[in-house]
Amino acid sequence: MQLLANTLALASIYILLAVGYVVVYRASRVLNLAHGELMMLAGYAFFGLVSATPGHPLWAVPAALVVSFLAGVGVYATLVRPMAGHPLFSAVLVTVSLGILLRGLVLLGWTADILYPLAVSGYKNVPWPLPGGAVLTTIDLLSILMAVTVLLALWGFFARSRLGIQMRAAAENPLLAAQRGVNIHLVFSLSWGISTFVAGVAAILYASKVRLDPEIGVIGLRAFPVALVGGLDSLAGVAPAGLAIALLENLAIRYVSPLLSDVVPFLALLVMLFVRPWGLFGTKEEIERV
Amino acid sequence: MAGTFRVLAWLAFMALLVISTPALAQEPYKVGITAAITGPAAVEYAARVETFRAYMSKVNSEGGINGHPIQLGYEDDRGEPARAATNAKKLVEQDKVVLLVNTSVSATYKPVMATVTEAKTPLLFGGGVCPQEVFPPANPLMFCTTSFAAQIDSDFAVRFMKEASKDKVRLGTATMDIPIARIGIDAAEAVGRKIGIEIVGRVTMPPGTADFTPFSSKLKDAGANWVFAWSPWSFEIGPYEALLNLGWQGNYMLYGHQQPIDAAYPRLNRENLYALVGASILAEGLPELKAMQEIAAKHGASRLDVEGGVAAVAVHEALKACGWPCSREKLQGAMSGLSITVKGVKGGPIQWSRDNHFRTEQWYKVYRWDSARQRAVTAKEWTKVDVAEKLKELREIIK
Amino acid sequence: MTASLLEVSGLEVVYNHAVVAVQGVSLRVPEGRLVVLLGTNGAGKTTTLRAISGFLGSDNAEITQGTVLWDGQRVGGLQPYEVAGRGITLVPEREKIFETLTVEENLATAVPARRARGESRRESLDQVFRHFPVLFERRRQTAGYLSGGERQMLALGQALLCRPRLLLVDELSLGLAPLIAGNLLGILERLRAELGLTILLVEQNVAAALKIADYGYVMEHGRIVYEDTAPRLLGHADIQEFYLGVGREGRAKSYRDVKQYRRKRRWHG
Repeated sequence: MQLLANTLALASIYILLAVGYVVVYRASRVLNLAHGELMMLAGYAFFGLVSATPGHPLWAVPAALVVSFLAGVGVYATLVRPMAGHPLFSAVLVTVSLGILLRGLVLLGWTADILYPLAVSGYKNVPWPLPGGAVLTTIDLLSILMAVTVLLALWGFFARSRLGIQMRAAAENPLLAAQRGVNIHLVFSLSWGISTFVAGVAAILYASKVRLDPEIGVIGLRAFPVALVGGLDSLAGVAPAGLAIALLENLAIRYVSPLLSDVVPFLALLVMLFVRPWGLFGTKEEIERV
Repeated sequence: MAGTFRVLAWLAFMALLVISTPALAQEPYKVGITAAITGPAAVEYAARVETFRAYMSKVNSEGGINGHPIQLGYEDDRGEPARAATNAKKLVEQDKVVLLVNTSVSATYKPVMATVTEAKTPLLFGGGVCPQEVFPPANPLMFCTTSFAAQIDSDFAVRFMKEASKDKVRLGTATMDIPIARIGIDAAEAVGRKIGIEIVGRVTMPPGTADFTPFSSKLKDAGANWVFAWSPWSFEIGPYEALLNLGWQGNYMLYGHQQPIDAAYPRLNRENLYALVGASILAEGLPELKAMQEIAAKHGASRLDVEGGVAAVAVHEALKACGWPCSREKLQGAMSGLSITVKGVKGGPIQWSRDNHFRTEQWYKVYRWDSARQRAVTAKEWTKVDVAEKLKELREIIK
Repeated sequence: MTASLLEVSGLEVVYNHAVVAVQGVSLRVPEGRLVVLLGTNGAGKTTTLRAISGFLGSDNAEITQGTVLWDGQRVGGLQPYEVAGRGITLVPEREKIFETLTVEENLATAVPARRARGESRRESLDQVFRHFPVLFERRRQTAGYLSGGERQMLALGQALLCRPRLLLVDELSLGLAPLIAGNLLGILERLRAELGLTILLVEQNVAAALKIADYGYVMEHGRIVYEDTAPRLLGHADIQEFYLGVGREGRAKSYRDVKQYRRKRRWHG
C-alpha cells in the first residue's frame, strides 16, 4: 500500500514535468532541454517571493506561477521565435545553453546553499495516515491533486475551447493554421507559457517537500523519458507513462537494487524505443523528427 | 653648494628606494586550490573555498606571512575528475604553486594526487573527506584537515548509539552510492555487529536520486529504530526528512556538516536527530566562531564554513613554519611536524607526524535539538579518539 | 473596366536559391470574377498561388522579383496570417485540412478576416452546412477519415469561414471523380454569385473549369503563354488539342510549333 502511495506521489511530479515537454514539443517541435532548469528557476522565484512576503506566504504561490508563465513566454519570444526557419537541432542546442545559463544565474543570485521555501513560509508538511497503513504528506496529496487537475484542465482546454482547438491545429500544421487566420506567435507563446506554468507547479511542490538548490533540475531530466515513453506529442500518454515509470522505479528500489532507480526511466525508454519508438500514444510520423 | 645638493638628492632618492623596495621585493607564497565552486557539489564546497580565501585576505591585510603576501590561485573543477586534473596540472606545473589544496569531492582525488606526486608538491585536502593516503603510514605529500573520516566517524557513531539507546538498537543505514561513503557504512555495520547491534537494513542511493521516499520506506518497513547516514549532506538529510514524512518515530544519526546542520535544527525542530561533528556548530555561539564569522564577512565570504577556516589556518601555520624562501620540499618537511590549534572550534589540536598526516588524535562531539529550549544541545561532550589505536582496532574488526 | 482586385506583375519565384519556378508572370483578377489558371504539371501554377498567399516560406522559396498588389497594396512577401488578415484565403493542393481534428474543430479554427454585416458565427457555420450538408452529417468525425470529395468540401467550408474577399483554390478536382468534381465546381460558382467572392482557380480539369470561369491564363514552364476570355479559350484549337484531348489529324504537336503561344498578353479590360 505504501508502495502505491509512493508511486502516486512520485508519478504526479513526473506527470507535471512531462506535460511541459509535450506541450512545447507539439507547438514548436523543439525538445526543451532547459525544462528542468526552468523548473528550478520557478522554485527560486517561489523562494524569493515567499521570503519577500513573510506575513502572507500564500500570495507567493500564484505570484510564482505568474512568473513561471512569463518566463516561458519570454523564452519563446527571445530564443525560440528567432530560431524559426533554422534547423530544429539548433533550437534544441539553444535550450541546452539556456539551461546552463539559468543554473549559473541562480548560483550568482542565491549561492549553492540548499534553501527551504516551506520553512520560510512558516507552513509545515505533515504526514497523513491512509487506509492500509500507508502514509502520505500534505504536499504529496497536493501533488496528486494538482497532477489530476492539470491533466483535466489541459484536456478540457485543448478539446473544447476554441483557442485550444486552434492550438492543436497550429501544432499539426502551422502554415495552414496561419493561413486560416490563427495568430501563430500567440499560440506558440501560450504553449511555452503553459509548459513553464505547469513546471512551476511542480517546482513549488518539490521545493516545499524536498529542498531547493541549483541541481533540482535533475528531476526534470528524469521526467524526459516519461514524456518520450508516453509519446512526445501525446498528452494522453503522460499519465500512464508517469505511473508506469514511477511504479517501476519503486519496485526496483524495493525488490531489485536501489541503484537501479536512477536508471529505470532510461531503461524504460530504451525498451520503448525498441518496441514502439513513437511512445504509447504518440503519432507514428513523429519519430523521424525526434 | 650644487654638489651638496646633488648628494642630498641622491640620498633622498636612495631612501625612497629603500622604503619602496619591500613592495618590489615582496614575492608571494603561491598556493593553488582546485575546488567544486560550481556544480552539484558546490552546495558543500563553495562556501569552504570562500572562507579560505577570506581568511587569506585577512592574513594579507595584516602583512602576510613572514612578511610575504600569499597569492591564491583557485580553479573551479565542478566536482569533475577531468577538470580537477587539468586544474592541478595548471596550478602545479604552470603556476608553480608551493602547495596545492583540494576542496572538492573524493572523485577528484586520484588525478590530483597523481599530478602532485609527479611534481613532488604537498597536497592538502581542505574540504573533502580524508583519503586513505593520509592515514598511517602516510604518503609524504598528502595532508588532511577535514573533520570527517569515514571509518572513524562511523565507529564513534555506532558506539554512541549503543550507549545512548535504552532499547536494543535495530540499525538501518543509508548511504550515497560513492566509494568513500560505502566504506564508512561498511565500517558502521562491521563495528555494529561486533558490539551487538542488529543491522536490519541498508539503502544505497544513486547520485541522481530526487525522491528519497522509497528508500526510507524500505528502512521503516525493516523495523529500524535507529538509522545512521554518512554521506554528503543532501543524502544524509534526504532520507531523514522522508522518514519523518512517513511518520517514522526512530532516532537518526548523521555526520553534521557544518552549515546545513545549523539551519536544519531550528527548521525541523525535532529531538530525534543526532549530529556527530568534528567542529563546533555555529549555533553554539562560541566567541572564537563569532570572530571567524566576522573575518569571513569582512573579507567577502557569503557565510562562514568552519572546515574552510581550519584549512586556512593550517596553510597559514604551515607557511609560517616553512619560512622564506619556501620550497616544496621544505614545506613538506614543515608540515610533517605541524600542530594546528583552532581553539573552541575543534575539540583538540590537529597534530601531524611523519607517519600520520590525518592527525594523532581525533575529537568528536554529538549534538541534538532541544525543542523546549529551542536550541542545539550537547548529547555527548568532546571525546578524544586515539587515531593510531583506533585504526589498529578497525583493521581487526573490518577484515 | 472593373477594378482589378488582385494584380500580379512580373512575378519571379526561386526555390532553394537555385531553381526558377515562375518567371515574369503577370495576371489580373478583377473583383467578383472567377479566373482560372491552366497548365500542365510543374508549370508553376501552384507556386504562383502560394506566392500570392504567403505560403512560400516553408517551401524554401522566395519572391525575387515582381509585385503582388492586392486592392492597391503590396502583399508579396507577407506572412501567411497577415495575408489571411487582408482577406486572401488559399485552399492548398495538399495538406488542406487538419487531419487530426474533427470536422467541427476544423471549422472552428478558421478566423474571419473581417466582420460580416450582422452575421454571427453560428449563422456563418449554418451557411457552410447548407452548402455542404455532408459536413454536418460528419461533423464529429476525424477529418483524416473523410473521402477526397468530403475533404475538399471541408477545405472550402473552412476557407469560407475566414470570410475572404479573394479565394485562391489549388486543384479543386484533383483525385476526385468527375461527378463530384463537377459538383464542387458548380458550388464554387454559386458561392461566387451568392457571396460576391473573387476567385482565382488553378485547375487541370480544363473543360469544367472554363465552363464556370470568366477569364483564363495558360502557364507553361513558369511563364504565362496565353490568356483570353473563357469562351474563347474553350474554342481555341490548341487548348482543345493539348488540354481537351481533341486532336487535329492525330498529329503529336509541341506547343512550340504554335505561333499563338508566343504571343504575350493582349488583355485590355
